[in-house]
Amino acid sequence: MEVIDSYGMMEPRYYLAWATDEAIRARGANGGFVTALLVSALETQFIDLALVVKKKSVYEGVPVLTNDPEQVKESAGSLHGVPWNLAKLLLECAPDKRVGVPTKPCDARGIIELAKRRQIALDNVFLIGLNCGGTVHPLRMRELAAELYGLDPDTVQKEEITAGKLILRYEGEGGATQEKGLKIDELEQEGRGRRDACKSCTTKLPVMADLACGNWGVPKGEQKTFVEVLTDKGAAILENALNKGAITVEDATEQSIAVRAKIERAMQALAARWKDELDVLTDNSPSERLAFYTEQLQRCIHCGACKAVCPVCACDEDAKCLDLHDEQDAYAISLYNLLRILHLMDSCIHCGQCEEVCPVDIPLTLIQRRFSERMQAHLDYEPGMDVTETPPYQETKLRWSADAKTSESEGA
Amino acid sequence: MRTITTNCPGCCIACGLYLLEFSTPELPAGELKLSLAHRKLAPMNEGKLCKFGMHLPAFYAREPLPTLVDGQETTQDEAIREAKARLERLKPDEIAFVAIPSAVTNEELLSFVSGATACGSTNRCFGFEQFLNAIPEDARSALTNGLPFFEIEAASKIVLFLLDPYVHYPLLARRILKARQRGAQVIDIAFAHNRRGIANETVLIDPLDPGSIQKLRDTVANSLIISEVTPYTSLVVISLVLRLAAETASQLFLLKPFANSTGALLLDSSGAEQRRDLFEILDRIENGSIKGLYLLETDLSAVVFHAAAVKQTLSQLDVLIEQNAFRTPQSELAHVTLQSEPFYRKRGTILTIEGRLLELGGESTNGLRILEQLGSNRAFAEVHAEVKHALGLGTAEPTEFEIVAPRVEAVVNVAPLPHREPEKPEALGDEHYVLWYKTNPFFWAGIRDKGFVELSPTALQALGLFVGDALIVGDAAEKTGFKVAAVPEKLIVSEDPLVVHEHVPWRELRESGTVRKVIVKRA
Amino acid sequence: MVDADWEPKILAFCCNWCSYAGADAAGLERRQIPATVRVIRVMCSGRIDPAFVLMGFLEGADAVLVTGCHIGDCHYVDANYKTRNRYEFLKVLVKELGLDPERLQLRWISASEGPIFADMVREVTEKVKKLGPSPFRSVWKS
Ligand SMILES: Cc1cc2nc3c(=O)[nH]c(=O)nc-3n(C[C@H](O)[C@H](O)[C@H](O)COP(=O)(O)OP(=O)(O)OC[C@H]3O[C@@H](n4cnc5c(N)ncnc54)[C@H](O)[C@@H]3O)c2cc1C
Ligand code: SF4
Ligand code: SF4
Ligand code: SF4
Ligand code: SF4
Ligand code: FES
Repeated sequence: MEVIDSYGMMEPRYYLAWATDEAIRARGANGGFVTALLVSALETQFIDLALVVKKKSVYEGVPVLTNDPEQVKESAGSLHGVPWNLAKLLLECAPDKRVGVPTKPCDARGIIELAKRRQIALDNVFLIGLNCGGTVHPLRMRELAAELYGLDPDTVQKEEITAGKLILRYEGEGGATQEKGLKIDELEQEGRGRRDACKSCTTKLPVMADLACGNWGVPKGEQKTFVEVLTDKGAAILENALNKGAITVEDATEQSIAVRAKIERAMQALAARWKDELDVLTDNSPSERLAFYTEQLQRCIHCGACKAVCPVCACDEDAKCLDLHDEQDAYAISLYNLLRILHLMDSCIHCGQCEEVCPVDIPLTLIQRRFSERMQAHLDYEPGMDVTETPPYQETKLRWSADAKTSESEGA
Repeated sequence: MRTITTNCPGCCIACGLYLLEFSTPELPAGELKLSLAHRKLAPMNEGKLCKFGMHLPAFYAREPLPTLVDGQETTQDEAIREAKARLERLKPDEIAFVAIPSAVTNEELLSFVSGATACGSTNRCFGFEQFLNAIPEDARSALTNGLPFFEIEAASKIVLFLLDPYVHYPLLARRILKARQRGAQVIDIAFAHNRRGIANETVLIDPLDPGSIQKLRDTVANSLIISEVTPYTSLVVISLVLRLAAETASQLFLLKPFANSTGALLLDSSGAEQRRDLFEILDRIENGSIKGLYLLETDLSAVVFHAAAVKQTLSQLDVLIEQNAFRTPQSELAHVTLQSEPFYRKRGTILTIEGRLLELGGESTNGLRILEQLGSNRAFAEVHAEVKHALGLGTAEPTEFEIVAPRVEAVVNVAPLPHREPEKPEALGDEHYVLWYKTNPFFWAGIRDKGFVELSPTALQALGLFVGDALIVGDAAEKTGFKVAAVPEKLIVSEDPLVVHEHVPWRELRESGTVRKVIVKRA
Repeated sequence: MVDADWEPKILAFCCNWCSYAGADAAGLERRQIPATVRVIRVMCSGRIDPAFVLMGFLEGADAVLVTGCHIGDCHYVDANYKTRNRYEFLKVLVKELGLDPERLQLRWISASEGPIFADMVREVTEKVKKLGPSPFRSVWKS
């Protein structure tokens, strides 16, 4: 059975768009476009459910899977201190439900990988992509507020990233709102700021989603969302909102488009530098690598969290890594850890979720990245981008056709 | 979908997490699914959970306890009336009240205490009473003192005493590793090397000769000693640890296995004469001097892990009242059962080992209401205010980011500490091994997680074992598997609550602590 | 460094229809196959889950050989394509892990190629002797 996306790709179209409803627009991160789009899609029953992230505080947002437009309205705005990956939550939802979900690139890529593994019917999921400059771990955000901004973290009411600065709005003396901004670059030079995975994430635009929304390219001071329409599916949900009068749309200027592209390139270059800087194994010999992997992975307590949260892993409790692993084995590295590395070599999207939940702080994302990047380069394959591509590990034919001959002659 | 902010009841760290409840409209009508998500904002664990925490959705999917009187289904009000009437038929000192504080709120505990006090019972037990009796007043703060984990990370010298953090309190391990990264010296005083790597220095001691730690004064000097107390900690070991800390000017930090251990220890300030050790209560049930037992959110056969013997003892009771969210092996013996809500649905607070007063994310106060209906019928707010008063807290509601529990830096006078000259360790016969229980959250929940014991390569040869073989440890009725590990020749380590003894007097069982001399055979 | 008496232990997975028959033939013809090899017969190289290979290494094998029918000759049509695909993954994994890539080999050997099997084992034995024992060999496994 082939999964064929009935909605095709299309020539990209670029817009500036915003919520017609002023309240939504005011509450939205930029133009409130995403919220207005989802609200109208729910109201017209274009979708059955929306999966959004609702703010509890600057440091906490909880996922909300709902058919209630009011809940979606309350969830407008972007939370940079809330590193959820939403992909796996979709698995809890009956597969015939049509769901709209705002997705950072790593959410979208996870969803696409799960769709490749027949866990999600992508035809029913509307990926409202969000550009992503990265997220900060919520506790690191609190520490930042206290230690570098000199604030009582609990007084911070709003956080925002603009022009390379992390701005915190807080309740100052006498209850008046005040703000303070620090340059993210400078925070990060001191080892603070975004999660390591985000610092080294080169996928800044959700080009694999149905729409790509963000503020890059929006002229300064304008409350609008820059929207790139990437698929017919994206066009359909956008048209639905337009017909309802929920959003207002104008064509993006050449200049807007160019500015966005320029920022994307700059961010990618920065990410590439971080990737090198954070790779502590760059100069190590094979035996040093083996010692590092053994020493790190021997701490594993086999809680299973890294597997449970991985947005590209589609296995349940019968998974091979769990099943073949036996705690009675006295191996230097457990079969669980090695099998996970192996099985994700083609598919890891370096989202950082595994490392973040590891109770014994094993640098799992770095470890997996070392293996995956080599494999993915060898395969010339980028996971999470195109649902029609089969994960190479499951394929019969070799992807690396150029290499195929060498492999065969090796076997002669 | 509902997102419930909650905490793990698996140990005193009380890790934060979300439980996600899925139902309509995302699932077909009638379907309900509970799953878990990591709550990264939680200061005690940054969202990370151990294997037990990851297991919580299954833990909460156990069979609920129905409300019954003599096996017949009835209303809660009727069951409460019956419970009251039956307890009133007994003399006060014939009734015991036991609450192991893992899935119990402070409010429930306080209510339980006032109920027991009102009834005049002197047999109240939260699991740590043996130490209250044996340790002099001025040293007792060592039992209740907590320590925020950021202070562990900042320590310069840490001594782990018979504590494998990866196993006993998994979310503690990373804090010690952080301290090491920051340059701390970490010394592991243990029966075996830690195979996951924790310390820069390991000092092995003989499990049959814990007194030998008295020779380690120089090693320990001026450190932060981290160890644990559990219902099974032997008095010899705890007094050795107290002594060592006092004599080396070290700070002592004792972890405890139950989520609300600190709350329970601090809330009940009444004297030792009102309270009784768990194992003594069991002995008194056996000899008939205790005839009634009220079990609050407590699976005794898990905590006292000798399930068959517990059942035999409890079957002698005239009145057994069980209040629990879930069925336990004792339920079939209970005369009155009262269904409460699972921990994640409870409204109320717990006090963690770090000293955080956590407000649980649930909304139900049914468990508290049952207790109050038996007693003084107060509203939640009133009991809650009393809890804060009892803990010496103001009226403000502290957040999870504050450390509020009182910490007493007492100067321990070692003189009155129980002290036993270390006996000469007895020689082990060829067939004898020393079994060490490495307790952990699964252990206290009565769950066999591993299904094997660890033994040395030498023992493997001596016992003639091959891959796939099984062992009989002590008088165990069941076989168990094994894993070869770098442990001393004669040590066998079990992370499972493996029953290796026939029923012995309960107090004797407790005194043997977590170390048992056993005969091990190939099955 | 390496103990002179030390003999490597090499684990060979052989397909029932070809390489196992080949190995068998080599034995029957009394060609010297070094005693270093332990053969595990599988019905097809496609049955060799990479987990088996990893287990071999973790159990302390000094080298693991994956063998099967020549491409096009698999009794189960295209299963050895999968073998080859997975081998590519294992190759990258073994190398990055820090094991010498020579410790993992994929060879296609037909039923009539007994001598080739024997030669291969000899060749790998020599290579591994130079490399020394697998770093995964632990104290209580000799
Ligand atoms: C972590 C993060 C980083 C971003 N970085 C950039 C950037 O560098 N450059 C750029 O151009 N754009 C970035 N964006 C996108 C931008 O902030 C807006 O989300 C986008 O422009 C849409 O604006 P809007 O007003 O139309 O959305 P809104 O109407 O405000 O709707 C936003 C939606 O995003 C959901 N959401 C909020 N926080 C999260 C989260 N942490 N994870 C998943 N979903 C969430 C909300 O539930 C809401 O439904 C980022 C977004 C996020 C969440
Ligand atoms: S991994 Fe990439 S896409 Fe995901 S949150 Fe971080 S920066 Fe954004
Ligand atoms: S392995 Fe880790 S980094 Fe890679 S996709 Fe899975 S969770 Fe993300
Ligand atoms: S999250 Fe960490 S401890 Fe848990 S299974 Fe994964 S590697 Fe092991
Ligand atoms: S058992 Fe303890 S360490 Fe494990 S998740 Fe629960 S509270 Fe955390
Ligand atoms: S039958 Fe030999 S490789 Fe498939």
